[in-house]
Amino acid sequence: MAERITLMDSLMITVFSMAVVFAVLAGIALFIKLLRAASNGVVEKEVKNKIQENIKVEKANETIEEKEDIEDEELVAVISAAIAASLGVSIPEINIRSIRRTDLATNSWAQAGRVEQIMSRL
Amino acid sequence: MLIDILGKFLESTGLAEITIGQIVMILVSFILLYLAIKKGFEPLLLVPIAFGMLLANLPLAGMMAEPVVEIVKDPETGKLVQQTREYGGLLYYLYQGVKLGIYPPLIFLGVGAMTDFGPLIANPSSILLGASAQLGIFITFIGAVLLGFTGPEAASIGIIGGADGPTALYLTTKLAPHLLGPIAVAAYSYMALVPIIQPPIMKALTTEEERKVMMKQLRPVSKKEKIIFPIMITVLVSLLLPSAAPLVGMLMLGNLMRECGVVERLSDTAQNALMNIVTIFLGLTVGATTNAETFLTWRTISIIALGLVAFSIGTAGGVLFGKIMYKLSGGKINPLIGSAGISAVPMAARVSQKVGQEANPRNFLLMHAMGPNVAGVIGSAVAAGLLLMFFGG
Repeated sequence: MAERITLMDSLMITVFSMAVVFAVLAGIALFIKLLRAASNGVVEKEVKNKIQENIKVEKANETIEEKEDIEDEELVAVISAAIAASLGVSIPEINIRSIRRTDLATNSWAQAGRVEQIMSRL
Repeated sequence: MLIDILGKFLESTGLAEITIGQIVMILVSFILLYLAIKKGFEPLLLVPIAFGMLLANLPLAGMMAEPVVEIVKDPETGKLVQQTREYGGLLYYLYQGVKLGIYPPLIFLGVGAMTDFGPLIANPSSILLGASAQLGIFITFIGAVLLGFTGPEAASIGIIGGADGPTALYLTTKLAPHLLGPIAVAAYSYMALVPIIQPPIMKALTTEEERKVMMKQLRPVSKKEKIIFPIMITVLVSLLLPSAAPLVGMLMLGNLMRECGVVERLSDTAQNALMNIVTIFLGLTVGATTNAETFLTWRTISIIALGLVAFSIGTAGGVLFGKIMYKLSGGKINPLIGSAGISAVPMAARVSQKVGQEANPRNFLLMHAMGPNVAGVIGSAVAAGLLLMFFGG
């Protein structure tokens, strides 16, 4: 192509090039969709089966739960992330039905401490 | 006698030879060093570029001097042979990596090894945002033609709008090497200024309601998809557009090394040691191309102005296409992720996140914006391939 180009040439190059850029990237998008359909069909089923385990953190004090539910979104997010991390899956894959604050009298840290003490003596 | 000696000494120093242009260039390099060190504008690139500029403009140092070759008659055989009379300067030899198009693909290798294409694979439609943001390249190309630049020069100026340093350098060395200095300075300066250039455009083109849209969390992407992706993209793009193969091929090789998990040492080298070494050579030698004769012209000013236009139109193109996708998806896609379609990774995605969070503090757009952002890298490489196809022959 000649060194100096006219406005008409540059317009044609622009339209053609943008069309090709779109076509190539749309082709890639289509390819990714096909790739997912081909390779992920099996994987997704496996993941779903695994996820059907219900995770419940339980016991007592339902009156607190109602109030805290609204206030502690951040806490819920942290607990969800912790559960996901300990199970080695990502958050959308787990199904948390409820999170309830346990009675302070049976503090889970104290319980864990007791269990540890017992285990160390066995 | 003493005056004679002093006079001879002064003549042998650079002071006697320095021109006004060189003084101006040295001052420009000081300003760039200040911006890089004090203001933190892309310091990894601007420090070597500015220092290269300084070195190349010091008179008599000959850092960019070309070797002098002469043809002499061999006294024994009587044949004409080539003989090097003077070797070139240090930066001249390092510059060959830029001139021959070696450094930019190597940088792409490192970029590939650092990039996670997961968000793109999870949401393939976001790739179109990466295509629409390339509009800046071509509109600026038209603008440059109107201002009297030749076709190859206009193409090199337009590519600034891709917001991708290595791609801009690669194309410019192939099409208009004499403009390398101004184009590199414009491209890297604007990339540092993305957080200042983009937000006003993004806000002007979107409504408060659009900016508040929260997007659904991306699906997890399997390892298999992540491994197949770079291999197939290389085949696909290189078959369609062979001129984009050096950039896309190296980008995808880097990514494959990252994702396949069996060559961690290579992946680590590509994204750290190799990347840093090439960045030093690239920055230094690109800076060294900015000598006073070619840099201090009105063309540099128009290139820098056109570069800003390119960035702005690219951003606008992405956001406007984002708005179309917002409408088509029934309000599920936040148009702010469109601006990340220019490929300044990950800066442009961070800007989308920041502007989105200003409208809605609970909004996290970063991963969604990474999709168009990495698509922009592929998009600008494809655009460069096309321009090379038109003007490279």
